[in-house]
Amino acid sequence: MMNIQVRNVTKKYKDKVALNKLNFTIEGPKIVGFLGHNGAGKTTFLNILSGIIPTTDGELLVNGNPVFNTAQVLRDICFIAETGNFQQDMTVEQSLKANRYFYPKWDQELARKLLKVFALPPKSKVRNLSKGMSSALGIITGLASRAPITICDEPYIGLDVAARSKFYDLLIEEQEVQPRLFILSTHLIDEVSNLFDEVLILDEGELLLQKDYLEWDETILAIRGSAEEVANVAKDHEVIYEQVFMNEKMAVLYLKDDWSNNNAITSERVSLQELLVYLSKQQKARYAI
Amino acid sequence: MKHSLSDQKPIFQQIRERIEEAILDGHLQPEDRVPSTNEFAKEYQINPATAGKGVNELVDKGVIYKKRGVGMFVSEGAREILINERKESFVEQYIKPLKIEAKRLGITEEDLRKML
Amino acid sequence: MNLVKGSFYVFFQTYKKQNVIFWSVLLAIVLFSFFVVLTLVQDTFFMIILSVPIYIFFVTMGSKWLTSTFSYFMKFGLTRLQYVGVTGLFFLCWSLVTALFSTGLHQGIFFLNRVLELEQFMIFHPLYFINPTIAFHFMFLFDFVLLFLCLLCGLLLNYIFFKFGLVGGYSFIGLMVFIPILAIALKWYIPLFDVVGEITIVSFCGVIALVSIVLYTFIAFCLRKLSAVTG
Repeated sequence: MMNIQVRNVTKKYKDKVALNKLNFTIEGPKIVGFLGHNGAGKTTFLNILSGIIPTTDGELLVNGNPVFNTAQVLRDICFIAETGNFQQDMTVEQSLKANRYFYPKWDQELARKLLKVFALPPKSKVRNLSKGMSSALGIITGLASRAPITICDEPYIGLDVAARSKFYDLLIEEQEVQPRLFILSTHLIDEVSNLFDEVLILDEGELLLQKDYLEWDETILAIRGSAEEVANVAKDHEVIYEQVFMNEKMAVLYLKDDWSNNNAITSERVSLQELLVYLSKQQKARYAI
Repeated sequence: MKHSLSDQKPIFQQIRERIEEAILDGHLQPEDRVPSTNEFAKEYQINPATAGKGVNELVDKGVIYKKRGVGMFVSEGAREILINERKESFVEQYIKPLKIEAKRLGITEEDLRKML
Repeated sequence: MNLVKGSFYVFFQTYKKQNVIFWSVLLAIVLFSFFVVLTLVQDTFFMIILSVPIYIFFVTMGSKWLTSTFSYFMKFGLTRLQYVGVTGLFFLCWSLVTALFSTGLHQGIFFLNRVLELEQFMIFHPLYFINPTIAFHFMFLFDFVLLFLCLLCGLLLNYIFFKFGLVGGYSFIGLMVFIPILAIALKWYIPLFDVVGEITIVSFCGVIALVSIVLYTFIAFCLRKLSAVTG
């Protein structure tokens, strides 16, 4: 059972605040979708979670212990970033061999099987791998590490659809055999959102939403109708986004309490992908002035 | 593969509906085994919990029952339960929209009878 | 410990290529010079210095250390303390092995010179200033501590560039160059030569070792909160 506590975590750089007083808890095992538009602070947060950078303020605890520079915690975390996970002059085989020393639960059998599944040439140097192949190497490392907290930041750059599909299958299989807390940060949302147990959305360095994904449809709703009707209904809930088109107003709501059907407006489901598109439109509008 | 799950409806609902349709069309007979949540997960590339929610709704309705340690099976009379349930919502789901659309297009009752 | 084994494995693989190339070139030069002397006419005196290139090589290796391994090890879950620890250990082993090899090479050529009665060929070592027939263990000790110090100096330089960027790094180098100039201007070299005249090799090595330990501790302290992501 893994428990991540984020307490008032803030990260400031010279010219910007990347993360602003984040507060939440993640418990696993489960598959968590960690989402947000570019620049929302996802990678910064994941870097802090993996002990790669320190916080400016606040603390991040795993099972009660701080992450930064703490060996017993770091041993249980495997972080596969977008790039730079491996030494360029080592071969695929050597890289996987090195992993064995750093992850106490490393499964060599699984690694060997996955090498064949993704058809990686073992004697190739990392430097000479294509983007897709080095992503595959990252995925193999993440899966075979069997680390109780496994984090994948955009793990499938360059992977074709078939390889991505293999990854999803492997993810499901792994969770069945030895469940762990998987944190996936990705932009390919519609493909993988069906795998999420929980969803976290960061927006401008703050937590916008954390929800059990099964409750998604009871929480996020889009309504359409005339401007007055929509405003009337929307006032009882939190409006995440709104727009006007063809004399019709549309608002995306974060429901604050139970929804009762209203004949003056139509309501429809908002997919995760759509929500993020609305959020990024909002962000663009903010900077457009 | 995803077997074309749409994102217009919650996934658990679509899983439930697929099982219902299999029963109504006769592909699944009473006492036939229903796939486990893990099997659904692998088949559709979804989270087992999502499949579980859809399956549990059918258990609640008495359409499927659980045999401890063995799996899920279609109940006797499952088809009848589903038929009754669907008959009740038939008016709401199909007739009402039909009337609204017919009104929109100016199709009369006569025309409708002819069409049927 | 698994950690040490793993780290050593990665360090070794990361630097294998550079080592192989460097030593191949160096040894090729030695062999070439040796055969030139054997085949050439008398009265040509051939003297090469191997130590200085090796010291410079080690400073260079040290100066790439953080850039090429820090981020990797942080991603794999080492604490900064562990990283500094395995780095120190690896540096010690590397210096030790290289010092052994280098001393062996020097002594070997010395021996060959005596056996083949060659007078024209010599590999010069800084210690020959003091005593041309220096013993194996003194030469080994000298090289060992000096190589270790070279690695640490390189590492310090890398740290400054890593943390303070190009501006910080080059300013630091500028300052370093400034110091000897200052030393000559202020005539610090007089007491220095006095000390050097008196000191034994062992005490000298002791001083270098002490400086290394201080430097190492300083670097360890600096790395404590270092971010593995630049910018």
